[in-house]
Amino acid sequence: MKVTFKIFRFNPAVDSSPRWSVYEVEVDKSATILDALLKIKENIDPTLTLRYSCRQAVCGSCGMVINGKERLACFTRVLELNSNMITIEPLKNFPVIKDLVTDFTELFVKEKTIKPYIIRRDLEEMMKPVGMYLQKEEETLSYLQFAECIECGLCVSACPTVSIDRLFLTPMVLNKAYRFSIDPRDEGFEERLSIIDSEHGCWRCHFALACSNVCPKGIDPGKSIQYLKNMITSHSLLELFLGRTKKKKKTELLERPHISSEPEI
Amino acid sequence: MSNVGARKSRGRVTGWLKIRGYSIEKVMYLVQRISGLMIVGFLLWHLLDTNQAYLLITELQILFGVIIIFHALNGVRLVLAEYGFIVGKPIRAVYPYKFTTLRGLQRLSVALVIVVFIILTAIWILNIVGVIG
Ligand code: SF4
Ligand code: SF4
Ligand code: FES
Repeated sequence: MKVTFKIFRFNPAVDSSPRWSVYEVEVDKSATILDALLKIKENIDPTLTLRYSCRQAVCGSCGMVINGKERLACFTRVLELNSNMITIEPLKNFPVIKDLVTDFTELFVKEKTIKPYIIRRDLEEMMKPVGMYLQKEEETLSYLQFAECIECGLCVSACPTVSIDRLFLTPMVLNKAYRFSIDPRDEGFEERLSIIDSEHGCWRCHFALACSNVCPKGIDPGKSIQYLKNMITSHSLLELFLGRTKKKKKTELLERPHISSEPEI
Repeated sequence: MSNVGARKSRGRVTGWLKIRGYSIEKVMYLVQRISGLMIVGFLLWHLLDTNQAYLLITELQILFGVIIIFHALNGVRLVLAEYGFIVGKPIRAVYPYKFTTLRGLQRLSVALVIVVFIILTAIWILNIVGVIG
């Protein structure tokens, strides 16, 4: 079947404003948008620029706005869109490097600020581990769904808050903040608090669920962000009225004598 | 850096307006924003001209009633949702993915807001028309 592709083109080095290129491509039932784009690049126009790597919805590099909605090019079949005219634009809310390639630097800087890793208070234990933390199923389930994020930025492009507040932490980063803060092994919630509970933090999310609408990995960031708000509120209420904070239930430590207590250097 | 002079494709307020392809919650968000702005506008106007009860034409009065009804009802739904009470429990992200925010209790709350909104609006309009008629 012949399908027409209308593709956003922009090269900041030479163009003063974006333009559109139109290509006709023959596609079969199994072809993904990424296949079609590569076909264009190989056979029709080698200057078309795009980013991809895994071709299987794992690396998160091929996010773009396809027929008005954020999707992964490698995870969307051309014919599933039911249209013989397909418009492809780069993700919104990101600077365009060239054509369909966007710059994620700002997003990753924001991500760093919320300390996206497990934080333990006990340095001694970090340096000289004596065992492992065995999680029960329900402990794992509390964060598992939110841990599958591939950082594709689709939710960032869809979110109406990001489009008006450049400093908003974004659904991707807030989801990550919740994923680590709720992890039974983590003790870093209070360290992240000043960032996630700020003017540009989770309170700017107004539950439009655009993020959950587009997430290709079933993360449902619209859910984790609301849980994050709940977590912050109960934390502040406890502190305000009882002058203490909730003790996190500790995951059980399973001693493993064979884990060397002296890190090998 | 290659992105010097790169074009920002930040959507600005158009990000609010994009509803094609998204679910009903995005529409509720848009209406909530617009009604909120209108209420603020109305309050400012009210501050400037406290005598406006005489000026209010019936259509405007009806409109503001309707807007306030929607904003308040949806506001209650948002408070419940944003504290995580109706968004569903964390689940395993296995294909085909399920989004508990886009179904179940949360979706039901959207339907409920719309139904109650229609009923209250009808009562409100009938009431005003009755008073005048
Ligand atoms: S639910 Fe919050 S984070 Fe997600 S798109 Fe809406 S405003 Fe953005
Ligand atoms: S939450 Fe989903 S849409 Fe957002 S970056 Fe992660 S995988 Fe992509
Ligand atoms: S190419 Fe890796 S997610 Fe599409």
